[in-house]
Amino acid sequence: MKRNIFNTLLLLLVVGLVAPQGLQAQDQELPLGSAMPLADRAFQNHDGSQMTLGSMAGEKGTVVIFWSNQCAWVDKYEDRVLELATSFTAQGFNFVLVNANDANAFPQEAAEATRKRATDKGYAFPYLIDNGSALAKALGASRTPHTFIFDANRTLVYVGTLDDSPGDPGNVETNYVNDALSALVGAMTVEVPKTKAFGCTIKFYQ
Amino acid sequence: MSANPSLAHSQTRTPMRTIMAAVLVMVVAACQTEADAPIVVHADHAGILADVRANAAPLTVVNMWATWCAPCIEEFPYFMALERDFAEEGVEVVFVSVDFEDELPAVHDFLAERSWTDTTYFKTERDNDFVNGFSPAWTGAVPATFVYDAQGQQRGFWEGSITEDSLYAKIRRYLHP
Repeated sequence: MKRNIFNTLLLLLVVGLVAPQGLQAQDQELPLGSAMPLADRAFQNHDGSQMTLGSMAGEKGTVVIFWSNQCAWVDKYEDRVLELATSFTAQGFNFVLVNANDANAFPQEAAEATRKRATDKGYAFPYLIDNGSALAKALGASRTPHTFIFDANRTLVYVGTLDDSPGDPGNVETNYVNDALSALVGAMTVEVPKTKAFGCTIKFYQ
Repeated sequence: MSANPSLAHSQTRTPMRTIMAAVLVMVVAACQTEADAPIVVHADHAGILADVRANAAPLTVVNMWATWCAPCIEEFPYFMALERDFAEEGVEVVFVSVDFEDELPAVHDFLAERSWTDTTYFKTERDNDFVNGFSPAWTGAVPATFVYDAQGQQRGFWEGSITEDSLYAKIRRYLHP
């Protein structure tokens, strides 16, 4: 009996403490100028290998984009990201996609689906599995796609969206990531370092 | 053998009745279709917030959703029920579609299937301006929900989907702090 009461109280406590927190505003992006977090932590790549962000840092910079296997915004941006990666990898940048969604609750986000997407779409860069959403929490990522750019010194210089027209590539007025990377190539300051856009919520591991 | 007179009579009258009934159904359906058709208004953040202020409902709940967003669709009926169940308290629910421009027909279909005939907004602005216009605290993740008082002041905000029980509990707290 006492055990039942204890369990009930524990459940109420957990519901009271955890449920509301999961619904709070999550604009807790890592501040610009911060160092790359978890640089030495190993993550599983889509091909099964283990990789660290530090080992993937590009000579000119590193582009980390939170990604999903079941998000319309990701689908809309996929070709544009592949083009960006092709263009800027040749200029000394490395691209890394990260899936931080709870694979237990959403099987489409699990390792097999992630491997399949990377293979089917011919990703020429890592697509990491952020088990436990540790990297997403460290960076303050909240949605997919959500882009973080680190410069050659692994300092955060851009956070936000890829461009200003998710639905229609032909309607882009400002190509934020392209502009930021071009600025880094020219050793210039990123003119617009922080932007926002719609995206699918990252379903964090509970 | 002669046919059953009553049946023959019935057979001769049934087509006319059927036609009349069909016409009546079509007329009623047409009236209902016009009256119950979803109202979708293109708007930017300033227009939506101005309408919220002008309506001056005791509590207005603005829910951002998209037709292909699974958690949005899951919680959509909770918000529909919320307006019905809290009608006496003056709670109004406003849906804002952030679907892509070419998905406007899908938005109409979605609303029609659920018989939602209150004004629904369809986002027109660039994402960055729209998101920041609603709140600097909003990252842009969808679904997202905002709560406003009668003066149009934001009382609450959250990102991510919500259960029906949690939604109702939240609204009760806003109504009776």
